Amino acid sequence: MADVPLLTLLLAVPAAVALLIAVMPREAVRPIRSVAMGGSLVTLGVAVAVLAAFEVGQPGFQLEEEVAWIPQWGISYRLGVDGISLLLVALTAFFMPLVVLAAWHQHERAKGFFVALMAMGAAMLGVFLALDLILFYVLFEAMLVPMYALIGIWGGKQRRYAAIKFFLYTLVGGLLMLVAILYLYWSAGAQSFDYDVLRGLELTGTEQLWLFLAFFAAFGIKVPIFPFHTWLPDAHTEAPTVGSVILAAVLLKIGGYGFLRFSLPYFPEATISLAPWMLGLGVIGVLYGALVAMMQRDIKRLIAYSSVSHLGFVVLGAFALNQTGAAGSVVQMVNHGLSTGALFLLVGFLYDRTHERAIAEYSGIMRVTPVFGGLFLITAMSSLALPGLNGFTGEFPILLGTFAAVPLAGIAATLGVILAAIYLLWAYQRMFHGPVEGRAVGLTDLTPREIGVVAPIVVLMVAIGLYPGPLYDRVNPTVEVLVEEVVAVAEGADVATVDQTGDPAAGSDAPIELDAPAGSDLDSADDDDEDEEVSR
Amino acid sequence: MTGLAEGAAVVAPAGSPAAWAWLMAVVPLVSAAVLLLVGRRLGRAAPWVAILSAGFSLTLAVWAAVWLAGREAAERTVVHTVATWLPAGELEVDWAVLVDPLAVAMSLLVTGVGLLIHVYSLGYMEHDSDIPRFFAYLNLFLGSMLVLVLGESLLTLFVGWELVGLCSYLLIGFWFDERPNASAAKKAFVINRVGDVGFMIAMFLLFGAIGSLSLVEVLPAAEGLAGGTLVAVGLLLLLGATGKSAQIPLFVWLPDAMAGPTPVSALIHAATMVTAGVYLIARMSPLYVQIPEIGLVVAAVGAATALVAALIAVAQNDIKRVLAYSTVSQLGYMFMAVGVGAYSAGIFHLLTHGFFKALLFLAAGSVMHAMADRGDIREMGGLLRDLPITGGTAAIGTLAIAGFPLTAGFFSKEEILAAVADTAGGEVILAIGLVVALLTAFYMARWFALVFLGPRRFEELDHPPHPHESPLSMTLPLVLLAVASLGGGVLNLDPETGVLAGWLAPSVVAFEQTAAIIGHGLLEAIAIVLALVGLAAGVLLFRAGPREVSASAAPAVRFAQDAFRVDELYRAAIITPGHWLAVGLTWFDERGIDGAVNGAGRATSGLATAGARLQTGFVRSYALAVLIGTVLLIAGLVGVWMAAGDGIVLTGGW
Amino acid sequence: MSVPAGYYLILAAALFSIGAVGVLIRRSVIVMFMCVELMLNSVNLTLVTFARINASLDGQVLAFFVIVVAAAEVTVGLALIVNLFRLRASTDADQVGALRA
Repeated sequence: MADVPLLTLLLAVPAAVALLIAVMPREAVRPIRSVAMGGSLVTLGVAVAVLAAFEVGQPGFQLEEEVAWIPQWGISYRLGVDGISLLLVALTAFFMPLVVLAAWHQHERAKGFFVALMAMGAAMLGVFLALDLILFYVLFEAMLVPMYALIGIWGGKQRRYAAIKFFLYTLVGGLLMLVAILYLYWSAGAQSFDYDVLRGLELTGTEQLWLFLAFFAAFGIKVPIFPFHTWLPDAHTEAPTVGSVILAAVLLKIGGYGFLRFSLPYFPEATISLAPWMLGLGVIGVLYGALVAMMQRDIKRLIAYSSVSHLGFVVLGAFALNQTGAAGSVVQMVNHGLSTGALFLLVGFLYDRTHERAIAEYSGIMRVTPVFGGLFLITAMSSLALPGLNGFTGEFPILLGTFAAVPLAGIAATLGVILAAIYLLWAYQRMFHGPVEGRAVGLTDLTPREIGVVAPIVVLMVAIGLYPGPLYDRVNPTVEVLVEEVVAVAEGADVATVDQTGDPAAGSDAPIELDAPAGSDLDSADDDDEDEEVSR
Repeated sequence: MTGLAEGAAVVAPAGSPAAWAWLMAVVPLVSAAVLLLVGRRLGRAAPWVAILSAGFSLTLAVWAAVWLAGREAAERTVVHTVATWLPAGELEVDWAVLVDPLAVAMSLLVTGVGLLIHVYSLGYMEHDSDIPRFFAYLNLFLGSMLVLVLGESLLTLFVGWELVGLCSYLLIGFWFDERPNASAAKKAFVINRVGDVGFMIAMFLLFGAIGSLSLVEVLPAAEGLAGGTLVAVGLLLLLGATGKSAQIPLFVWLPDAMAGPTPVSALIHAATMVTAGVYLIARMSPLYVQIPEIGLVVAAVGAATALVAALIAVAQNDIKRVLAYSTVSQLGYMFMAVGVGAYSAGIFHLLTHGFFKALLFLAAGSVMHAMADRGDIREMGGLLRDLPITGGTAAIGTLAIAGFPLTAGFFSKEEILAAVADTAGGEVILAIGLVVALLTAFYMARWFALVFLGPRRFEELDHPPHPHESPLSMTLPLVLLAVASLGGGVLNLDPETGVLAGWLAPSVVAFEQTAAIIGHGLLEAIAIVLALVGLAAGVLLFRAGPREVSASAAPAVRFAQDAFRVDELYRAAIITPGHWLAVGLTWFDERGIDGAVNGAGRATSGLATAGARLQTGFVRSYALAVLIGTVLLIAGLVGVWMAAGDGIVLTGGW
Repeated sequence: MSVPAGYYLILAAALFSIGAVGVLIRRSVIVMFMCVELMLNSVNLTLVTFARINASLDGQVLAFFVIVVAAAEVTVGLALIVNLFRLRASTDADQVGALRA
């Protein structure tokens, strides 16, 4: 077992299944989906094996596999997993069978659909595992095509617009990153695309700044960070249920992952000097996303904006530049995937029945379908970070870390929890409470299949909420090393540092001065919504 | 004092109740989950599952109390770690319980009153279709409150803190088919969250300064904290407490929360959840004792709230709303107590208030039950005859809350007023406290008179109800609580030598006298007179029925009835601007940012279209382009050559 | 009296211009071709003149190249014109606008 190349297997299985389905006759829907389910379960099994083989407490890359691919250009096929990517890989593999099960009754062009799903699975797993920058880039862009197909072919009314917007927006970011990668290869003198080689490069401050910005283009768009987020609501609303789930659960994590994997270790000086800006953008994302979510009439769009808000927390945690925040950031990525994925699944079940996404069309669902209502409530509570569920175990460390870095940012971001309660509970109340009216009349409760899709997620939500220790044990060592590496650059440098050990009393001088744009945003955000009761 | 503040925590011996204390919280939580999942199938057995869990927790609490009492005072602070919870980087929090006198006192209150209310609900909710869900939520609440009270870390306390917020959301909105109920539930949750933000930021500050959130480490370190940190933490925790305990400015959710079933009101809003704020401040007494000026702020908030709420209560006509505002007002008293440093007095009032307020709410529920769920006290009257037990126990409750001599409320209120009188700068607060005492007696007497005395106005209604006494499951708790309201005073007959004061010594800092505004004897006499006057006035004025409001007083009464228009104020000052902000941002998002994105797309298309115009399809225009291009190219080359060399030389002739 | 070299060059330039303008202005493809021929021949004249001026054979050799290329181009071009005529029944250059964007 020790010599089995687990990581390659992890990639190969979904890729092979995709090819297999591609050659199957398109009418054979049942065999196709069974093959898809089988393949995704096998992938999950391999992921479990990876989890088991992972040695807790070791910060570096494990289970590495390396094969020279194009040695003349310094490109190799290199895979590896560490504390940051392990959980994300597990999350992806976890969602694959669930997503196949959710799409069980997809009959229209089923073959293409499942091929796209499997291909996405392989590409997403690859992105988290790749340790060669060209390999990473190839897989990063490879993810776009199946997603584009999923949105563009199986999506809603505006699908073409949404699909093209998604594709082009993300592609542009990716291209800028490619330029940066090539620069690293050529001008920085690396002559190799290997991750560790590039990590060891000595770059000047200006170089780091521009390269950071180029990588930021790619990852910032993926997160999505304000103001590069407008592709997300359209993509989510127009995508089919399963597409939204994958998008929310996995694709959005690549942004946060990218920052932790590349931006921080490669460009530490740039990271430190730009950290206040990033924190500012994170805070804006949290508050802005929540405020705009409140105004949405379409439930999927509301959840999309809530994603923008929640992923703002991930950005905060990553750029707080302390262990607590960064570890919280990784765990929060997993948590967000679980809760937002579950939300989209549940909304998808509703949509399957009524083809209606407008919140105002529903009332009293809870009375008609208690199981659905109950699961939705638990998921909403997880999303708004109720302690006892998983959301809190990620958000609180992030907020703690952010406060330790820049107290004002921490305070502003904490206000986000009020807003989250407002928009989620408003939507829940409007749709699930009240007399039974509108599209809620005649709704059938969740079928066993649908419960089977959501139940594992809910179980994980509760389990992680009560006992997130195992997750953190795997994340902490890697994050510790990463943060130390970045912060070490700051000592001796003239730029403002983030300090965990200070005594940041509220109102007293913060270790880092927030620049005016970020500061003024925070000020204006500070006096909004104390208790917003939205009665429509 | 040898307790938490000195770092005298001991690890729980194996097999001791402290080592099992976590089950107090976990068992009700598990039974809640069970009831939610399979409750329907259990049918009639469902409530009994919940009652048994509550009973189990009570038994465990009693056992823990007895065991703790048997230990030396110095060894009464016991911790037990159940499991690790959150090892996130530098933050390390465990699932751990702290069993000390304060925690045990609170758990006894929570489990004791909780069990009584579970039993009461058997009768009250008999005809409801959703019984398993109700009892599941009751259990969930019990478990959450115990997590709050037993938590060894501020963060585990916070878990319980938010979970009880969730439970109040679930229970206030229990009858969610009515929109107002659902709306009230959401309001409660959101406003609580505002307070929670304060709590969280306080935790951030404490963690930043101390490096841990564990009470065992935080409380001893409180002495060494910087002044700024102390003040900030003190105020922020106060903010959190005002959210949970419905003080100014975050009290607006409590009256609306009466939308829930009455046992819920009794449990959550009278006896337990709202007291979490008081508990928090008492628990953090080593910190507050360092900042007495902030303590005065706490007391001032309590006093102001007590006054405002009492004034509002005088003008209310709904049987539960009077009690709701009364709760807010009495919580104000508790804040006054912990504000001036009389922590055990605050806890004492917390306990006695738990008894008589739960009693009053359950009695109100009994009355509503008899009145076919009507709640307007102007339409009641004379019910003492039909509901003797309810009326009798309600009378005892009224006397207790008014501070009639020798009732539990008398002793606890006296102790608070005496403490305020012994605090420097407490003059205004004391005056307010006395005025509120008068008002409390008055409006409670009015309440009692309009409901139980005088002409039976309900007989003139269209479909008059036929009131009858409630079943034993409902009246038994009433009687038990009445006994407690009468005899509860023995818990702390004297502020210095009382049982409770001694018991709580390891957990909270003792009160220190800093002034002598008025002698205790005189104070007691004044308070008794005020209580008697208030009671008499209320009964005499209202025993014949509701009174007409004079024209000159009408605006004031209306203002009080509308709860000083605080809701409207919040709507105008915060909600509406917030709404417009959100509208503006959404517009900006769609037109501005997305507009830029779409604009970029349109610009590219535009450029492409413009560029495409070069492809005319005309051969001749292509030819022209070739010509011009060639000329330019040659001119360029020639120019380069001429600049570089000596020019073009034409040699020779033919 | 020998003719100064300049005269030849001016003649060639004039012929070239006439040819160029002719290509641009005339609509009939056959006339356009004739003008192109005119341009090519004027270039030939220029080459030969310079060969004479510089007393080298390079220009003359190049002129041969140009003649050959002109011949090839005329062949292909006339074939296209014949096909075009079959298709459109006209030799108007403006009619071939199918590649318009």
